[in-house]
Amino acid sequence: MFFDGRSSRRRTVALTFGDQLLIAETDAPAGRSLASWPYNAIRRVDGAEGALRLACTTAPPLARLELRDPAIRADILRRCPALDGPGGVSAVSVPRIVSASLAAAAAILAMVWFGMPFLADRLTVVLPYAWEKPLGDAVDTRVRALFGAECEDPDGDAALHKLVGRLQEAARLPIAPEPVLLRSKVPNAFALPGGRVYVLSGLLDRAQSPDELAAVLSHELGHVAHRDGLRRLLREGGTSFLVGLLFGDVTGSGVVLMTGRLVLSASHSRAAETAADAFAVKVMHSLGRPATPMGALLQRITGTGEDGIPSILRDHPLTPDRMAMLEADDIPATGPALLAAAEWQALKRMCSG
Amino acid sequence: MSVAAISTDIVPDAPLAFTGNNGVFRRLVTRGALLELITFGFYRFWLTTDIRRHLWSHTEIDGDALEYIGRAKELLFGFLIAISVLGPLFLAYFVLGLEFERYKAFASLPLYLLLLAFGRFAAYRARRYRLTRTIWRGVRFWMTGSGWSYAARSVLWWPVLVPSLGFAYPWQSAALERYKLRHTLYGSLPGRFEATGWQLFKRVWWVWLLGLLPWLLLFGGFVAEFSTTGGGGQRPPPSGDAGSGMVAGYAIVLGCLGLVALPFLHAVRRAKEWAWWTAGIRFGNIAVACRLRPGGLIGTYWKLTGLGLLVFLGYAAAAAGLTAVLHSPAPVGGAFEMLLHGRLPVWGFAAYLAMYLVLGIVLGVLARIYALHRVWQRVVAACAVINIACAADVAAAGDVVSAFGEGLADGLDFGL
Repeated sequence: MFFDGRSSRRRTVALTFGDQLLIAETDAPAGRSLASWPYNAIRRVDGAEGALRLACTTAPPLARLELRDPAIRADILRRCPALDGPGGVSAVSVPRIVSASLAAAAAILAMVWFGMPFLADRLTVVLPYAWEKPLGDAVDTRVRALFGAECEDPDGDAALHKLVGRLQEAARLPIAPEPVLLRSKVPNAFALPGGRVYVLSGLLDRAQSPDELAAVLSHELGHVAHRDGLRRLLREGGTSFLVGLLFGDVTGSGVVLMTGRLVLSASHSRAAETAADAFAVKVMHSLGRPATPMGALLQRITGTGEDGIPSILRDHPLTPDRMAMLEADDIPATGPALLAAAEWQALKRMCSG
Repeated sequence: MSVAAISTDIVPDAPLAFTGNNGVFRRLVTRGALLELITFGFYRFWLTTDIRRHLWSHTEIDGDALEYIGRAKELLFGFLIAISVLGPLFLAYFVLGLEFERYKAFASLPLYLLLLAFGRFAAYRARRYRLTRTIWRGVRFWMTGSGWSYAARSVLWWPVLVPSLGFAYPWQSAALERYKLRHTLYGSLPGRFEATGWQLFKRVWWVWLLGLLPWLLLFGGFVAEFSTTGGGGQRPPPSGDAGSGMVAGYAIVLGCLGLVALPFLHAVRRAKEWAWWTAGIRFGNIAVACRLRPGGLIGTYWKLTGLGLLVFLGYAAAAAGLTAVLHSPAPVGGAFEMLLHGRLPVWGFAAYLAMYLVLGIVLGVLARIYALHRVWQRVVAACAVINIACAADVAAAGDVVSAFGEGLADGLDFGL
């Protein structure tokens, strides 16, 4: 069976094994030569079961010769030296693919593992602090949508601003933080890039003195000062993006890579947490207040928040190391109280209206 | 010629045959899945090519097998080129998304729709690549037309499709198939699509309705439940509404039962769609007749669902066993943090991970075997070509296109 690659006409042909493979028409006009294929240019291609399908690199690219007779097939196999050579369907070399893939994967992973954190650090330093504001603003609307309404009370608000103002005197962030108290059962507080500070009323309810709240807030301000939010975004965003794009959505590999990424980000966030703790200690001490109340507050919070959203402890577990660090070199209260008793009461009452 | 006229008056003269061996394919896909795992996914280009070669070369029309001449290298290059486009695109998507979010919360969702539309463009181009690598009797299939035009048409149907809860799908499908087949050619023989949306709607509307019912019941049930029992305690519970509470409960139970019927309904719908689609294809005077009965695919999809459930149950049992051994109460999600805090031994974590990977691989292999190979087998076996003589002497035409579309589809996570 022969197809000349220029039309779909099926022709029955006779083969002659001369210097080259001569393909001649058997139907009328009988004997007319259709094609002549050099033996070393003949390649095997995919055909049906039981049929040997051949192509030729010097013929029209889609010309096909199909052989079912076993004797002729044996002949072809004997005479054609390069049936599986280039241009045909050659068995793919799996070990080569595997080793090439592993090499590529290793190279990409190395770039991501070492390069991405480094790149994130460098970029964070270079990007102006003001650029973080759009990021914070963008997340602000979602945070409010997720957590709850802002508690509004003039006295409580004044107290909160005074507290944060004292912290800002010591911390001296490039942009003064703007605190917001949101009504939520979740005991957490966080600061977003650009200086927005959110305190959730669940945390406020459990705090027993201004020092406790102030210590936790200054920890969060430490993250802002160190620009941890932006750095983490760049690092994790860049990593996810690259890895997801390159390796595709394949079961298995994705999970393996994600695990690796978690290891990486966990170790980085440990370092960031320790630095934020140190910042908090520094701020509290410069205000003349002790830093260990933070540990007391965190110890009071156990488990997850009632809405199922994990408490502050999920991101900042209270390990013995951390407690020890807070207690080391701690000073007794030497400076003025951060808030007067009346102000503290006003603040505590803010969300019960 | 109308579709009805063809299937009753004219006897098909050229059978379609599928000669692929189930065992061979199973080995191919299993080996491929394992290789995909150890090559971090890079092997997928070779696996896809091999799967297509198997399917194409075992499909015979009038005694002559199709041939797939695409190569894995083409897919790899297409993918690399696509990344160079997708990289900046995703970055722009992220930045624009931020800007939209500042304006209003969740306002960046429409951007996601743009990505979906781009996915339609990629699908058209990918189809073009596959067709130009399909040879039958030495002549190539190819496509004209524009991917952007196709994407635009797809998008225009969405505002109709969503509000109609999917009932408008037959007309959307007919319109898009008409576009695709109008621009598909076999050599110099142009194609067209002659089935209508109404024909499909007549056959599947009840299947679709039955499929929607469980979801509607569940949704309604949960909504009623929360509004009668007062939800999270924020509002005081209303005084005694036991009647509607019970109705809600029944609705939920019925809904769950209905979900069990979904594979059955899906199989029936797919069988009808295949029969409708094949009967609408024309190339010149050539048509296809399909004898696939509505129940023809039920066995296949049920096997897939059943085996999938068994595998998942096996995984759950193994995970539970491991949890019992380790005396740890955390699910897999929390396993990593437990590892960090020293409460989970490394081998325990590795075991969880391994089980999860095996689950993923087995499910993927099952999907390829049943949803792809077996369905292909059954559809092809039920089809026959009419007026095959018209294909006796078609002049060759058409040229190859790059695998850019395939690469895009891969990067956007679609595709075969």
